[in-house]
Formats: sequence, C-alpha cells, structure tokens
Amino acid sequence: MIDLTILSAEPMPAAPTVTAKRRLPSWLKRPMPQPGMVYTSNVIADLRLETVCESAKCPNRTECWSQQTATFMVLGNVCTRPCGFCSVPKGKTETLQADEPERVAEAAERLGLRYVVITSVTRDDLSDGGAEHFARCVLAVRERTGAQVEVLTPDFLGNRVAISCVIESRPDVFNHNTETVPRLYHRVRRNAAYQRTLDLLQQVKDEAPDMPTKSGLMLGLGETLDELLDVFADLRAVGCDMLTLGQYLQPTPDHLPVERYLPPEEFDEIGVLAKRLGFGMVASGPFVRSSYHAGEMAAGITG
Amino acid sequence: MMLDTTGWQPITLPDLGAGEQLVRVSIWLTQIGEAVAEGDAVVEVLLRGITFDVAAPTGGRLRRIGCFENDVVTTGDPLGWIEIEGSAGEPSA
Repeated sequence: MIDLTILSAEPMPAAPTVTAKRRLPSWLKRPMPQPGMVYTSNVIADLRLETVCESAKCPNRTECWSQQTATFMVLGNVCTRPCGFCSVPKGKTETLQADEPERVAEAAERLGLRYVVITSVTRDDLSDGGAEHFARCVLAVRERTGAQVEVLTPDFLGNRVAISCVIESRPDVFNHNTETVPRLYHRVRRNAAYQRTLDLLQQVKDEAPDMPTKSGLMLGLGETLDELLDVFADLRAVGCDMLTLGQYLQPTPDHLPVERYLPPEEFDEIGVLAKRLGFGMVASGPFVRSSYHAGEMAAGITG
Repeated sequence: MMLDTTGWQPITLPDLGAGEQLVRVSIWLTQIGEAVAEGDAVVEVLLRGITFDVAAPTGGRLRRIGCFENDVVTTGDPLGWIEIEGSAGEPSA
C-alpha cells in the first residue's frame, strides 16, 4: 500500500513527458553495475587500496568493476598538484605505506587480473617523486601474479633518475598523459609543463626502445582540431605508440566546466586522423580513458 | 488516503556506486499508463556527467511516479511503480 498523504497533499501533478529536455547528451550513458562490482569493491576495501576509479570519479567505474578490473592508485590518495580537471584530493600528503606494493599484488591476484594498470598521485614532496615505490609495485605484482603491468605515471618533475627507476622495473607499457593542448596547460594542468611530458616519453624510448609508450588527452576543454593535430605530431615525434582520447567530464562544480560535448562521430573522425599519423593503437570515444580496456589496447600493439 | 498497490512492483534505484555523489532523476522515458516489458528503460538518472537507464523490474504498465526531474534519489528509493501484467490489483479512491 502507498500512503498518498505522505507523498503530497495536493493532487498528483501531471506526469513528465518524454519530450522533456535531456540534461546531458544521450550518448553519455553507462551500463548498470553487475554483481562483479560488489566483489571488486570488497577486495579493494579489504586491502585498503586506493583506485583512480573512485578518486577521479571515473564514469567507467561501474563497467570496469563489474568486470572485476580496476586501476590501482598508489603513493596515497592526496596529490600535490592543483589540476583543474581532477577530483583527486589535494593537500597534506600521506606517509608512504611500505606494504602497499604487496597489497596491490594481492588485489591483482584475488581479482584474477592478467593485465594490471598502476597509476599514482603526483608526489612533488618526495625527492624521487615516489618512483622507487612505484617500481616496487610493478615488481610485486609481476612476481605474485605474472601479469602484464602498465604504469601511468606523473612527470616526476622531469627527474631523469626517477624516471629511469620506473623504466628499470620493466613495465609492459609506459603511459604518461599529455591531458590537453599546450595553450590550455595553465588552466588545466598547472604546475606541469608540456615539454616535460614529451621529454619523459622520449626518455622511455631512449632507455627502452622496445617498451611501448602511451599518452592520453581529454577533449572538450576548448582545444581546436589544429591544436590536437599538433600535439599528435609531437607525440609521434617522441615515438609515442598509443593514444587515448576521451570526453572531459566535470567531476564537481568546483572543477573546470565542460566547454563542449563531442559526439561519438567526431571522436571517430579525430581518431582516424590520429591513426594516420602513425600511432600503433588509437582509442577515441566519449568514455575512453587512459586505462580503459588497457589490456586489449596493449595486445593490439604487442600482438 | 491509501492506494491499494496489490500487484504493483516498485522501480527501485540500484546501487550505482555513487558514494557521496548525488544521484538525480534526469528524465522519465515512459509515461503513466504506458506498457513496458521487463528490462525496458523507464527512467534515466544522472550521476555527475553520466547517465544510467533504470529498467523495469517486470512487465506491466507504469502506474505511479514517485520522483520527478532533478529530484535527488538514493539507493533503494522507489522511483515509480509498475502494475504487473495480468495483476488483479486496482487502485482504490
């Protein structure tokens, strides 16, 4: 029974019609969570791990966690950079936890992962930016599970020794995001430098020529197509093998607004243009993210 | 005034993993009185930049809407009610 007196003292208003204006483009729709999401959530909570899925409010979280996959975020849950697009908390950083590599490895084992993506907050407060800890995570996961590991790293402030430390852990893919075009860096990615990003990707190729590199950008922040093509060319010039392009979504009202929602067809067209520049793999779509279906993307490069 | 909902099944908002983020009703995709099949998308909800379609838990007709566009809803809330197909239940005055 429904007590109508608690619903409203007034007559029930007319039902809204399906012609009411949608609040978001119709293509920004995600599948409902499936039972696997609960298992993934429990493993992550049980092992006290952070994920970029939660911290950055990734729109793919329900899908990925339902498939029992996640992107682990190490070095704590507090970042030292005030990027305008990211909802990861900023402020007082956390002490590194020595057992974190083992907990990440255990989670990978319990989730049955064969391809593990590890990312991190940016730790400019650490002398090596957290590179040694990052490398330990890669080694722990590989030793325990034999899985392939993709790292999605910060720029380590261009510290070449730190970058080399991560390279020497031999990740299967080295990913570092460009995020946006150079003109927008001051607003989108403060405290970062476009050339520093390119230099990092170049260093990986210099020290490990066979290690695939990857980078990603968010679209819809006000960039132009010409600016994107210039960035693509710069990434190819430093040997970047894989590219991801996704729609920027405003995580909270305190973050940068969305300048434009690109339709899927436009993502497809931009992806085709990027592929023509020589990238081995390009993933371009509204919900594409750096580590979305990362294993499949890597398989396309490594064969 | 009590409404006899015998034979009615609520459309319940499932757990979207929203955490502390607000979930709002975006748009009803079905009108009151309209027939739906189990699994049909009946209402779209909005979670910070993405949308989910909540499906009809059973076949029947949408008989009552419990929340409207822009209303904040939480896991377990009945978004509306479907009169199950073939049900003998009838609303009373």
